[in-house]
Amino acid sequence: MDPVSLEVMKNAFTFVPEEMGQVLRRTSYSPNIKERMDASCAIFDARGRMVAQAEHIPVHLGSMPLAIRAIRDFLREPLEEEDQVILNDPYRGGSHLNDITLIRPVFWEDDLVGYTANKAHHADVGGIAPGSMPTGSRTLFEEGVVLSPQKFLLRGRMDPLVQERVRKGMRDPRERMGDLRAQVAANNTGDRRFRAYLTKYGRPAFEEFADEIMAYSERRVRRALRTAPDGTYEAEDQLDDDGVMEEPLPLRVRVKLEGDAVTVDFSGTAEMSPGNVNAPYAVTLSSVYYVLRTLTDPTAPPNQGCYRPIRIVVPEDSLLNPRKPAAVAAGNVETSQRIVDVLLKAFAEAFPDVVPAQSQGTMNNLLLGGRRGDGEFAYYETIGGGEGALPFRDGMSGVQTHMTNTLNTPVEALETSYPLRVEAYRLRPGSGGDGRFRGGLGIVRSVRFLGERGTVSLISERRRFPPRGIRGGSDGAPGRNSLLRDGTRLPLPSKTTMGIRKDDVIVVETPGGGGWGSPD
Amino acid sequence: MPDHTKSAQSNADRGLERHVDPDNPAGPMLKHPVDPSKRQKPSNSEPKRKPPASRRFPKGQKPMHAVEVAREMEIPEVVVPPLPGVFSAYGILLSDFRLDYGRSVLRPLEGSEETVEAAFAELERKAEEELSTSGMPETALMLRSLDLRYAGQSYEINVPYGENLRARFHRSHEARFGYASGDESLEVVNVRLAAVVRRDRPGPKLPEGKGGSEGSREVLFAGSRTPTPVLNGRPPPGTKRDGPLIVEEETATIVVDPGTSVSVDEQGCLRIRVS
Repeated sequence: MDPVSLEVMKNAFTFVPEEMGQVLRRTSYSPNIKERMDASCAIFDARGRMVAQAEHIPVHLGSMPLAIRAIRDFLREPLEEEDQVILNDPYRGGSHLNDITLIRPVFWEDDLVGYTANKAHHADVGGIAPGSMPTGSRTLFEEGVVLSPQKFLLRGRMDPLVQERVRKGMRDPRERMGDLRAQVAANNTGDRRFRAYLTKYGRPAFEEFADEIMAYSERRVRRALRTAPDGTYEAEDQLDDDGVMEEPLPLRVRVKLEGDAVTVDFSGTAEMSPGNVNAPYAVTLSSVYYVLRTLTDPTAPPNQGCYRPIRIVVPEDSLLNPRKPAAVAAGNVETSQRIVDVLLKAFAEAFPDVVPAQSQGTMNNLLLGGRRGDGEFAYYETIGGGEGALPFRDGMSGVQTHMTNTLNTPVEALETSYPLRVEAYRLRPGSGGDGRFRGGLGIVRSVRFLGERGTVSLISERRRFPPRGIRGGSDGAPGRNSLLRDGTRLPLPSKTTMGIRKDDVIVVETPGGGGWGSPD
Repeated sequence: MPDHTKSAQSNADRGLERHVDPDNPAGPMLKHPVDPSKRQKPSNSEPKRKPPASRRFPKGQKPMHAVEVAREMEIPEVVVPPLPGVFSAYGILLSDFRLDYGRSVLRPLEGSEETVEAAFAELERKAEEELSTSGMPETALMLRSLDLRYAGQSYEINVPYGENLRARFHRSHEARFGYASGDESLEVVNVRLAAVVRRDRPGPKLPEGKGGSEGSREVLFAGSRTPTPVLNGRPPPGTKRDGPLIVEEETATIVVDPGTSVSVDEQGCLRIRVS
């Protein structure tokens, strides 16, 4: 295929998931999607290979393709025109229960030619605490409603039983259904656009394009890998704790760079935890893909081809490859960040001019729930912090880093929708690590609860072990969680689920980034 | 046309040389006519609705590839007005006066009639005041509309105020996003008023095409070189010609492809029949 046609078709097909994302954002109900855009969209060919993705959230990168594979492996009935499949099972194509994926098969002249899929974070999916990310969950079932791949729409009509499970099992069912309708609409838009392009270019051209664009991305990644020195690089990092025991959990990795391929081996990492910091294989995959992508060729078109040069080894029953029904709520958000940290540490030798100091290494997950009107509400947000300094500039302050890429919820939107009031939202002076280049600053966010009674969940990391500087740079400040009640400050652990009452103020201080190079 | 020597060098660098035919360097690009107006906007914007276009009015530099684009969009006729290159500016000078007002009310649509009517009344008073202090006739057309959304959403659709408001909103939502939720409650976010003062538009005195000299040039149409008449200036009304033809004007160059035909109407517009 000539390069002009390849480029034009690439842009055309990349626009399909972009447009899906627009529909999703504009029609959804929960601030998670319409404000934070905690969602991703992608299209696949008939073989289930990802052809294009709108790159919203890195932690969704690896799991989207596994969702398609899960349909092929676990859905009992054959797919038909206007069907849509729903799933959130982390062990069957999902990542954590909140991320609900919807997939629509694309048919062309009675043949299956591809899929459109989108994945969005739902503020609540049931379980023992509002937000469905409770500290103390030991199995999946405590975290929420588990949906194995099943049809949500049959030939365009919503299945009443699945609808019932959503309405009865999840908090704020009106918001859930509004978001699911938006996800359905996003896939339908993608399907229409996909088929319009098939009409324009023809099916054989599309199939040729799919093969070529993947080969192209693969070539680019391989070329970048060849520039790094061959060798074996090892590193170790740790999670502060798993919310159950107070001991840190080690992550170990051995990276082997050989010519134009790379093997990433996580043997030696802690085993599965009784708590919920376990990272399903899909999450581990996403984290590895993210790091490799940023280090090799971040502008290579995102598709299956990028990942062909990568081989991943992770033992079964590891923290990074747990077995059902291990709880995983925090794995998706915290452990994923730590996988990135340990990989970057290993790669620091191979790519010294590129690897930054450690960023905040946590998503500072804050979940609040309580009564609202006649029903319940559940609210979720992640909070930015310090980016690690780079070899050529200071780290940015108050940003989302690595596996998360959501926007924040504007204070106005938050206060309009929930009985909450934001009393502080500012940077933490001095929290960035010193260095030739300074680490970015963390954030202070204080939220007052205005309801009568409610529940707060916090899932965070880098409260005990701070983000590290690199090459002589200083560490960033560790994060800190507190509850202000009746004028007293109560320290909160990194992971907790507890009851709160009117006028309690949750204060989250997020970590600063590490510095790069010696400050002298 | 790119400098062949320079592009041959960089093309070789990128391994493109086998794809570039020196006799037809733009060939691969012509398979994908790119209309700048179709270029996708950044993702903050609304998904585009295809405008109901039975004709196209190319302006600016578009007359150069208007026919190709029309073919692609299955539009049967292309109309090129006089002064195409400055037609937008001309239009702005002639357009109606318009004053826009808005007031946020943010409430359920159900039970909002009183508040909405009061808001419209207030905005209309404001409009009348501004019109009179600006020395404009007070007889303006008052266009009332509401920004509506399903309760729970954050993005609105503007719907003209009047009968069947809900039904029209559901239809708009469906047209834009592919679905409507008939049972869901609606919210009115903003009340909007546009005060429009129509202007008289006597037939504009546009430069009459008088025609000019006619030359000839070899032009590459879809890979084959074709001798093509080149007109210097727009021909007069009543002219009928077949493509290929190029009309060179002060503000634009109009390309009439082979296989199409063009005529000039009484207002001086070029009408190219594409199919």
